[in-house]
Amino acid sequence: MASAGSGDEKAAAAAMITLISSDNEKFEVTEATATLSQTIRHMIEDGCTDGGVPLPNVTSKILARVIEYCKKHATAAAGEEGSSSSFSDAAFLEVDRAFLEELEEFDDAFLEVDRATLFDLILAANYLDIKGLLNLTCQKVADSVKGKTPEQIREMYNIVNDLTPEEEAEIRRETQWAFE
Amino acid sequence: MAGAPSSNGERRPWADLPADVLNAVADRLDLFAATRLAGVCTSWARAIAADNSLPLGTPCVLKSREDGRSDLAMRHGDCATFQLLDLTRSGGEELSVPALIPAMRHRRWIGGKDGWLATVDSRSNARLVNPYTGEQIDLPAVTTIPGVTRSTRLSPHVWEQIFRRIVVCTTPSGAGGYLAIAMLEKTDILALARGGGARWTALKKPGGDICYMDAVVHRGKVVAVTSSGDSYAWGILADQSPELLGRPPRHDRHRYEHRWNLAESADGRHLLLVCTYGNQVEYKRLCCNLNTYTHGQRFQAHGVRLFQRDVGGDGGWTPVISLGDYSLFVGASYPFMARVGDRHGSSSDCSECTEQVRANCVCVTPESSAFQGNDLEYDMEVFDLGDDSYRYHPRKLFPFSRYCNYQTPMWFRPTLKYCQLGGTI
Repeated sequence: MASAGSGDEKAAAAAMITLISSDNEKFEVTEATATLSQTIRHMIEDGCTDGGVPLPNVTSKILARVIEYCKKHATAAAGEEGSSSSFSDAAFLEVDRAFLEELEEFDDAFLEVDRATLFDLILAANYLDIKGLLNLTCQKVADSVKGKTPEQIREMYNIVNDLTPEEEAEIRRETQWAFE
Repeated sequence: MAGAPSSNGERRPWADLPADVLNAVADRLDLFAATRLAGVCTSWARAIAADNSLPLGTPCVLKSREDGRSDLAMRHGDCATFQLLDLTRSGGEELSVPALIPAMRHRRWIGGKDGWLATVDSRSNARLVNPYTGEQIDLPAVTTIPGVTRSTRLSPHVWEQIFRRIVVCTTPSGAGGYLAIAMLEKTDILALARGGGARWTALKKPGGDICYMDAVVHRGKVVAVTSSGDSYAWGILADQSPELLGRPPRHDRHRYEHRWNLAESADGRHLLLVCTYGNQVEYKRLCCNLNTYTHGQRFQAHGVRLFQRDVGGDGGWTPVISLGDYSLFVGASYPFMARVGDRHGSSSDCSECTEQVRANCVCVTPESSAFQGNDLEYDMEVFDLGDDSYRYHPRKLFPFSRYCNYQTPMWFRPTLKYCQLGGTI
């Protein structure tokens, strides 16, 4: 990394990927940012990203947020690689710590969204296979249901209780062990 | 803004969350919060029921937390998080799931059945607790047992142990309410309490010097076994004198000491008697202050023998050679038979049975004696009736976490049965 010459810089600048949202908006991102998504990483490896990557399941609004997340975390990943290869003295550790704190603050702020956006982010993270973002959003849901009754959870997430005795009996039949 | 619909008023179909995403959410919850997700709607119930990382229907050891976080929990004063250990997975892999039970703060469990735990506080106030729903039901005061008094001058930090174990024979979820048998620490008294009752009723004592080791309800009768291996049966309703069921034939004359447990056969038709034989061995263990050793003697099991009989019949005790596909689980919680096996595992043939708990075993958690926790070396012992082998799961407890809330390991089978019930959690 440190020895990057002018030729490499050009190559890095050239490694841009175009992502196309469901509503046909184009986003240009670096490969490092895009490959936080395993789904896109595989597409790049298969060489099928020329002319842009269509993401028919992700709206521009959500894609913009996802890219915001990936940019921040791609920088973090690069920073970690950089520091681990160098001599870890106290100064470096201090920088690392500050950076991790900043990242945590970013994540917290990033999650301050309404439930509809949270839902869209989860589906996008799942579809794009972005582990960190999926972890983050699932944790948010988990924290919200802790200590809540099923009724309270239904209220919170606007879910209709369709668990009729018949439905429950059906699930019991399918998964006998779970109710033993 | 959380909870509000997005700016354009859209709502999202949270019920259609992909199953693997919901499982990832459940992964971040304790067992009871995870099972409550199954009570929300049909698709969530399906996803949770099929979640491989939840030990649903599987006998697990419920115990104090042994991971590093118990230290943290202690500092934060959270003594309500415990651990469920699934030892039935192939490859000897242990699955550990956290279990948060707020109702267990400042209480100890000394028995349980299905989704209910029998608990006591430091003053021997007994209470049934359902960790799924948060329901709590007080049992009658210990002082209603004839001859039992409470010390009046104890510091609030000292535990007064009057109950040794509370055998939960019928849970409050049953039609007629609960039925519980109290086994007391210092006396040879057995007492019964049932839902709606205000007091414990002592059972008539058989003659002589006796010490009860275990009790169950079988075919409408209370059956108890004593340290000599004699079993007695009482009718539940009337104030009857016990009927002596006798003891099984001894297989050795002198060498061994015996521990006795009772259970029911898988079909409920026979009474089972588990005889654990072994001897006293010396032990020396580093104290929790890490400076001194404690010495003492403890019971070291060598093996088990299993017998069965009909309570009504006069055939006496006959040996049981095999439990077939089932295993028997005994200890502080009510005994039960269960088929075990890695239901998610690929191979059904048992060429390399490396799971610690498997079919045709008698699986024993320590006697409910939370106050002798220091002497315990294991969370549970397994006696394999097939190959006559003996295994145990060593206790790994952080030295300091026992100050937190040490609990006697006990069998507990997670279920979705209670998932739809609300209650205050």
